[in-house]
Amino acid sequence: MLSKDTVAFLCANGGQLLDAAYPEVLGDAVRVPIPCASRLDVVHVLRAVEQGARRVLVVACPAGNCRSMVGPDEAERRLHRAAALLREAGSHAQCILARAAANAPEDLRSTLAASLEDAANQIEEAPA
Amino acid sequence: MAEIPRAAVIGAGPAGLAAALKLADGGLRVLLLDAEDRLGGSPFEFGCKATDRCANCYACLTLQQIRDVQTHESIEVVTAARVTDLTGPPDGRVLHIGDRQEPVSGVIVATGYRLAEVETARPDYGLGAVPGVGTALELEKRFRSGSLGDSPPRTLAFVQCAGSRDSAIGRDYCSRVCCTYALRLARAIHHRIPEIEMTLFYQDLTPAGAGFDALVAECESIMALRRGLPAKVYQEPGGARPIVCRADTLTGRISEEPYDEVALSVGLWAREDPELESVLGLAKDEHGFYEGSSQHRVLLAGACRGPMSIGEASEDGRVAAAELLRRVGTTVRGAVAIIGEDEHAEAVARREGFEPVRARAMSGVAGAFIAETDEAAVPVVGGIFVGRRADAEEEPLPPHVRSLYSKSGYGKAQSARRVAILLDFWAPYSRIAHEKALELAASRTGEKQRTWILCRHAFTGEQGLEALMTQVRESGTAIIHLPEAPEVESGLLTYVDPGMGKRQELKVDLIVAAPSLGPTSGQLLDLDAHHLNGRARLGAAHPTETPVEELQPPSNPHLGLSGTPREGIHVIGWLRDPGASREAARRAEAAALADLATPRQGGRAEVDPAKCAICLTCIRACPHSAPVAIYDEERERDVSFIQPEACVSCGLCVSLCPASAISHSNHSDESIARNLEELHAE
Repeated sequence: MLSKDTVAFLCANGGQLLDAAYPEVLGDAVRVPIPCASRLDVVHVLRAVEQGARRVLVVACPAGNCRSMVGPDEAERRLHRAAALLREAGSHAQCILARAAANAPEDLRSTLAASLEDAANQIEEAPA
Repeated sequence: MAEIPRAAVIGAGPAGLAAALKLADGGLRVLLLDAEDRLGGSPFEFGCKATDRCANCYACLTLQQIRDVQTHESIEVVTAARVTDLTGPPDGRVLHIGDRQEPVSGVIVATGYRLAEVETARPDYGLGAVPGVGTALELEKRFRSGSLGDSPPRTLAFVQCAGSRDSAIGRDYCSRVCCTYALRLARAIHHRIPEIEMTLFYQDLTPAGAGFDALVAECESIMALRRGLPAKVYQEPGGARPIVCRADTLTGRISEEPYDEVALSVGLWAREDPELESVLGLAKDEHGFYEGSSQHRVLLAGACRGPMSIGEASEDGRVAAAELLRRVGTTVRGAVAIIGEDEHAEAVARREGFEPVRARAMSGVAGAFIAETDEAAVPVVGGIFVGRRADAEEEPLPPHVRSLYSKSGYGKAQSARRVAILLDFWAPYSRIAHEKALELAASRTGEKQRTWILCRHAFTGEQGLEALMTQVRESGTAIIHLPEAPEVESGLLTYVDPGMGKRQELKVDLIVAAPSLGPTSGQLLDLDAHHLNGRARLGAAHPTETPVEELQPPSNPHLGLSGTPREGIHVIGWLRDPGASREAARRAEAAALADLATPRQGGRAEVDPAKCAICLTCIRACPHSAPVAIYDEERERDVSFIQPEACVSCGLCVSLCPASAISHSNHSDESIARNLEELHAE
């Protein structure tokens, strides 16, 4: 279950519809609607972390399903850039891109489960 | 002031939802009725079948349509609704929904289909009686819920055509969508649970659209595809597993094999609703699907007319709505460019209220298109690029084989005595080739004429084709299914007979085959110059950098059967799908015209000319070609301007603009930041 320390950017044609139909998947995460994943900017991710988010999630459409063709790829590029900046700044905030269609809550669940497990492993492996 | 007319849509599946949205966008008030207590119809039950890529099944669009319908101020939704009467004169119809009476200017019936009753129609398949036998839809639900992965079967068999293509039960038609559904589901299951060994039993693999060859090839690498349906499925003696008993129609071998689970791909049957049929005067075809209405302005849409995919049903709803809008007279339709001579497309455009303009090329953007004819430049509302078969480039066939599309092939075959027609061996599976082959065989009625059709799969996935195939078979045409191409010499075919396992020789006077068709590189570059590949360009600059095959318009559920990333520009014919059947090509044509019938809402991105550095980033990046460079007289320099009619409000340009010159009225950086702050404050 996601808590309020997760900020989820949701695209209008995928993530927002998925969340409306299956709100339990994102739990208590803070939802931020965007028209398309390509609207995501590095500064939005940094701003979310600045506001206290420990995890930033972008829910984009699967490849070949974006109304504007390039949304998920653009979002991934910027999320990587934001993640690199956060690491440089010493932040441990996690950046996750989930590609899931509006009717694919199971895809979002499995991406989240894998990412949360990764984060848990990183914490375990981190030196004391 | 005259009241805005109201239309009713009965059925809120993909066709009904699409029709309601189209009617509302066209200026009507809409009453959307559904007998169920929810919207979405049958596709609401289907999940996403994407693997690493979208599977193009269109099921996800249903949720989007539901949201758009529920938030549209001109649409009223009534669920659990029952239409009880339609009264009044043609210009003053009143629809009765129980006690409620609503004046309507027209009605669209989009009540969908029902699943075949396999338990009673094919009790020998063991559904409901043999443990481990279920429907493919039940399997999908377990897959989506995760329970299939928690305890996966070791072996799983799909059985196609359960309740269709079966003359013994009076259902001698193809349900059209089940093969693609089962293959996509199998691929998605393999993606998540690769340890399941899957087999699919089929009669013929029937495609529901472009890209079917690639889907079949992918599935051949992950599962067994075996020709020949089971005679029965029964419970393992002393065990609990289902046994599939069948004859392989390629090898002739009879087998009885146990599987842990059997999933039946259940066919589509016509929905029965005697009261509605009586009230609306609906006429039915021999299989019970609706084919017309005796009532004024009662139109049909979607799978109530016959089996169709979600995408096709959605487009069919839009086409019916555009037709009703035309009849009600609420839309003014302008000129439309038809690029690629096509008299049929021009005639349909004229019938739909457009003025067709035969054009060489187009320029401009949505809202300000210009068609270039030999004589003049004409303003048009949009353009349709028609890929004519006559313009297609044919791949060469083996020696001694003539093209089914040529006069020396098809023409000569009409009069030759012994003719072999070879399909889908040297070219991708082509539905139009199968149609032509059956028509050719049916036309060869001479006393001494003999015809053989050799193919991997027979195509009967359009209305009337199953009956045509039965007719040509009964008139003596042999349809031979082979897994591989026969050896070809002059007047001689050699192949291994699948039933007997013996080498056979077939002497004929003429061999014709369907060649692979494709656009020429020049035609693709011409399309690319119109930005149809989804990646904006500065005119045709550096076109040779992109591989030609990547220049074809992208296929995407959001773009529909004919749409492109550019608003107002559509591509149909073989440029869209070289193997499309005639009906499929006509559907795409109608969908394109329906799309052009109503203007869409403008976009929300705007450029501040004072900040614009005319770096061209937005112009290069926009997938919809919405930004253009214009001359700003006040600043005496070029600036970027975003054409609202072409913009879809994705916000890509807003995020990319290095000068922060572009804003989005609903999603500015400030509003997103404010949103974050407020949400955290909560």
